[in-house]
Amino acid sequence: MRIPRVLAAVCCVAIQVACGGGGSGSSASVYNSTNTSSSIAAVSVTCSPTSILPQQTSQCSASVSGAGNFSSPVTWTVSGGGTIGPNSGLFTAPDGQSTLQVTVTATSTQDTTKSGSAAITVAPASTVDSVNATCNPSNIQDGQLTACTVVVDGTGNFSPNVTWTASGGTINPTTGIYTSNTPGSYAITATSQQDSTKTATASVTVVNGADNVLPIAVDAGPTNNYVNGAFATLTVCTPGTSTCQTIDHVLVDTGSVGLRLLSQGTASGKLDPAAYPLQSDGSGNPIGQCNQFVDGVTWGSVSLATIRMAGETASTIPNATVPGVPIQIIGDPRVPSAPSSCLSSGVDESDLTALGAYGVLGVGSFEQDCGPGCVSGTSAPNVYYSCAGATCTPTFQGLAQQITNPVRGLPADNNGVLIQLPSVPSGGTTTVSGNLIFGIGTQTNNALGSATVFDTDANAYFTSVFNGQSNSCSYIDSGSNAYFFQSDGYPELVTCSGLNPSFYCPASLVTLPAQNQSAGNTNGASATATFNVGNADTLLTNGNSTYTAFSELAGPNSPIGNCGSFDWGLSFFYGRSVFTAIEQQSVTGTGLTGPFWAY
Amino acid sequence: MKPRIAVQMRTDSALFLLLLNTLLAVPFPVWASLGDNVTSVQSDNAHMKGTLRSVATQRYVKHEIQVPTGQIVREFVSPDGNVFGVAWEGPYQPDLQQVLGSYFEQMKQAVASQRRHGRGPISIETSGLVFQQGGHPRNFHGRAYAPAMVPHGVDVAEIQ
Repeated sequence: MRIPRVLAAVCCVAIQVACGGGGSGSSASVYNSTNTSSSIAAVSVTCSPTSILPQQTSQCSASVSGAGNFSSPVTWTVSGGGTIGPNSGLFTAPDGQSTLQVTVTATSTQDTTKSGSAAITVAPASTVDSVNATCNPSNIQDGQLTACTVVVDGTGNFSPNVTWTASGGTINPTTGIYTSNTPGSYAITATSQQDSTKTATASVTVVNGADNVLPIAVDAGPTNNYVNGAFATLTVCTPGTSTCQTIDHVLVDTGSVGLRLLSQGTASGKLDPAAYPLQSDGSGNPIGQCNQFVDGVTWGSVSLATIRMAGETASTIPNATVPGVPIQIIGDPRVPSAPSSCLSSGVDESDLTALGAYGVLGVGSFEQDCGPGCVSGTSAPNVYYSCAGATCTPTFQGLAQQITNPVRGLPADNNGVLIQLPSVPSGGTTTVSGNLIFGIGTQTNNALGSATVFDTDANAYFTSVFNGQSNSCSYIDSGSNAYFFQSDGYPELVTCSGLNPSFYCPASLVTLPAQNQSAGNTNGASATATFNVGNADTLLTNGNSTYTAFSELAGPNSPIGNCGSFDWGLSFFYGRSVFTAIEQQSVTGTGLTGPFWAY
Repeated sequence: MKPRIAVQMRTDSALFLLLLNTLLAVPFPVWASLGDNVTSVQSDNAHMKGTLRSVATQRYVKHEIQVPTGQIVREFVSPDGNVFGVAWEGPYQPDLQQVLGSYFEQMKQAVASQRRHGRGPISIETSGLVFQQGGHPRNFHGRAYAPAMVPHGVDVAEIQ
């Protein structure tokens, strides 16, 4: 059936010639009258179909054109596999599971230098056998994104593509990113684009989002002398009970990890330690901790507590076998006093006067405060201690027993935090209020949006280019109360000579440019961060010394070899939304995984 | 091979010192270092159970102590045999009381007297002591020197 159709599609001259034997004799005589000899001009080939399964056939036909009373027959050959009838042009594909590209050639019998070719693809049967869909996470809050993925199994050269649909909410038909603003249970369906009878369904449950906004305030703190300290109020409970205590003025610190609260008693804190079970080692000895901040150490117990922050509760941590989040109770009288190996590491900050807060809420880039270095090694560092009787000696501590980032204990919104503080006027202001928002990209109020994402290195550093120097040990830290950097190249940035030698005292306001980059410039992220430095002696007396929030407060920092350090403290946070993502935690729908900062 | 031999010799001498201290019933550890003479480098190394490597320049000798828990402590000794500067970096603070010796108390008093109004890196610059410490938990770095003891011609930026 196909041969006449193909021939009909070829030019009339060729038809005349090809059909010469049984066609119009008058036409042939015309050619004969003007040509003393015949010649072949070209041979063209078409095959149908051009793509077949193994052992199927494809009919090829040739169109021969030429001059004079030329001869139309051709001889068929094939290369690349299979067989072809030398006269019929019927190609038969070989058996097999591999895909072949064969070339069919028709050669004029009159002039064997004239031939034409066509290609035929022989491919095994392509079928879609099954489709499996999953959405992770499968339980989300309204407005939160979840990523649905599909596994398509099949044979041959099948298409892995599916089209996504949902029974409610919205889903990207190509990427499978889903969200809904209405609580409920929804069916997410993936339909094979090749075979629409093959579908898979996953279920996503959408619930009303928890209140993930913990108010923070910048004020003078419980010692009435703090500046640029962002404080929160949170509630801690005995695990599994409703015995709770609310603690105010806990410093929000993205530069450290773990909740640390001052004990009642000599530490002058608010927490009653007796309500919180002590973390103990295999021998039943309580675990003490020497926590190292950059400016000193805190000593106390490791204890277990449930932590309520905004509408969310951290009641357990990943891989833990006991309820509660490990926290440090600073000055806990249930463990011996600080060992000398702790006190020799730095200034002791284990009381209210030194700490300036009733506790520190460390919500930084790491999951645990110490990490693998405290789990195993040649010798235990002076961080975790086993306290037998009156003697505490350094010990190793498993990850799930280490003091853990409270954010990782939340059932949702647990991949990082967002801090929002309003702008403050030049010269400072009395107090400001802002938000500590849990989660990144988990609810409508913590989307990354257009924020620039800066990857950090294993030490939670990125690079700040300042005064031509690439400072690769730089960091963003809400727990530092100013910008801290080296003033090399800026002689106007003199250190204050009076009561405030840890700050700069330029004669007048200085505007400085800097450029922040990802660690090692890995993802190419780069953004300018222009900032101002005012005279600290003046700033700290503004408003009759009642001002506590300053965007222009800065001080000197330590240089160290090839690793310069720019500490973007709370001065940097005013007027910004600053994200801190926790190591190994991903942000749904973005392809991003912590640790990173974004602003 | 040469550095390996040097390390071995240093370890041996450190062990010797440890033994000597024990024999003489000297209370151990011996607080030492910044401001002390060169033998305090050995006692620091022994106290921190470190591995010592020394590099001599024309103006000073830099002794680098690698502590088993990951810290590196560098002690700078002047031609007249005194430790005029120390620097450190690593995942934990080093034993600053050991490294700073008598300057440890001076550092703590200076920090206490500063009106810091909060928290952050430490920078102390007095006529007798410069102390700076930066970084954050899991990675600290710092240095200290006695300005009057820094040999002529040595740039303090080299103390790191």
